[in-house]
Amino acid sequence: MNRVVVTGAGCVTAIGQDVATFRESLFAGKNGFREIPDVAAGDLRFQRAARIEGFNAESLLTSAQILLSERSSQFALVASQQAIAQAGILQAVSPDEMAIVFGCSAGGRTAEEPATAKLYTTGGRVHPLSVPRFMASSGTSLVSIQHGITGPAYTITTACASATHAIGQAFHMVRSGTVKAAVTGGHEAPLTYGFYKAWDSLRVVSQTQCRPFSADRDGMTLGEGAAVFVLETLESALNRGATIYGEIVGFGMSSDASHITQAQPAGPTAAMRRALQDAGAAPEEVGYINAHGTGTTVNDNVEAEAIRTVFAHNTAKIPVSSTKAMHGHAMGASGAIEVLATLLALREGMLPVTAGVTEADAALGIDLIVGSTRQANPMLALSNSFAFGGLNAVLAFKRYEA
Amino acid sequence: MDNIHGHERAEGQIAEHEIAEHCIALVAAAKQISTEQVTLDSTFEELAVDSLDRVSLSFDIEEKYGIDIPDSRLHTILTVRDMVEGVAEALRAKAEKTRLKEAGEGA
Repeated sequence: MNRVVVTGAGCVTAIGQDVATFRESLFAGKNGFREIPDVAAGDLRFQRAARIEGFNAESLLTSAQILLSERSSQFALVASQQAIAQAGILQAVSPDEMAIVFGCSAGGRTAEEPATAKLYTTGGRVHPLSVPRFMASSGTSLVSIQHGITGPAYTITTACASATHAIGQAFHMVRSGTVKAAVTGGHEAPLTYGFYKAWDSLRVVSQTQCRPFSADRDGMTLGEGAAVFVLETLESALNRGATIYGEIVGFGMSSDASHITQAQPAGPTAAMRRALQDAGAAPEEVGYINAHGTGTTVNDNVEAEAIRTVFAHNTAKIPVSSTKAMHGHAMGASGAIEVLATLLALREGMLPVTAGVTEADAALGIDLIVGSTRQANPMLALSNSFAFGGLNAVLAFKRYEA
Repeated sequence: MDNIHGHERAEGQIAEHEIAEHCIALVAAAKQISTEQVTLDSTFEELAVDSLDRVSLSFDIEEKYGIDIPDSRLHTILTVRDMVEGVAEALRAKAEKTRLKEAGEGA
């Protein structure tokens, strides 16, 4: 089995539209929460979302790409361009030996919702490019077309765990030798009026801002974005002298088989244990957990309980943060954005703060990183994603030392 | 009666000229080439107008003129000139339909 490393990364997020800017915001504890425009006062219980401002598709993509895509796929295209260019992978690996696996949960909402709203109200017709723009797998196809990547290519949808499942699948394919390299991550642009209203009805969105694991937490902050990585074998990366972000060492999945929204601790517990087992690592080796940490009462209770179960007497020694407090909950892209945060934390020996939280909920019994970024040198880190509907995915990363 | 007839003919003449310009502009925009590269005799094949381009172009032109190009006719449009003729036919069909409707209402 091959060892698998990350040699390229790209992102479009509310706290940075490239990795350098994301990194700066991440370690500065800066959030990307912005006012939601064009919604009447009092129409929503919340006023802010982790919206990406100033994303200039016209300057980053060809007009042919823009014509065929909507915002979610455009994020995928731009983040992939960054990751692929940085890794220089197409100069090293034949594109027919490369895979693309993306996570996307909401599909092309920014195109679909206005078109459908118009159809249902004023009537008329729907543009023939609507179907290609709406498809949740459009991002995968457009990235494949741009770079000529002809190996296995598909999109995974598991709600808020989509990107984590995607990266795990890509990891398995590179590890087993099915492909020599993979482009993987997640992309999502769900922030439409209908989406806001639907989440508002669930009453899980914070009326202030997402404060994961805080005693006074009151919900999540919706977001959007993309993060994309290039995975390849360690051997290939070393042979060509590629810069290594970090190593993926384990992937664990599970299903709660319980409830369509309410998480149960057994599922997340099993996913973390399977990731560690896959990595051949003991719980005490973990030095950082990038939590799913949505900021809802239930999620954070359940996740903390799962962490306590897996790490037992070691729980208090393991720093935990949720970077959703900065980049928001970007749904199907969330896991990928958090993987980027986790890789940067491992590589730089700095653990991101759970921004906006002044005091952790003591009842949760975890070592939540609050106040400021924490210096530490973990060797092993987990990135958790626990989706609505009980679909759980956990990735384990190891700091790469030459 | 003469006035109405004269008006319709004038509208038809202007439309033919406009339609040609419009079709050329739409095809050029869809393929991201200059309008000089598109002539009435350009074939969709040589312009690399694929099936998705064809349905997009027909949608745009149908929306612009408020017409309907039947599927059966769409399949026979293979050049820019065919496209212009297809639009002109559809416009005539629309005018005929309107006249019949107005005549019906008048009766």
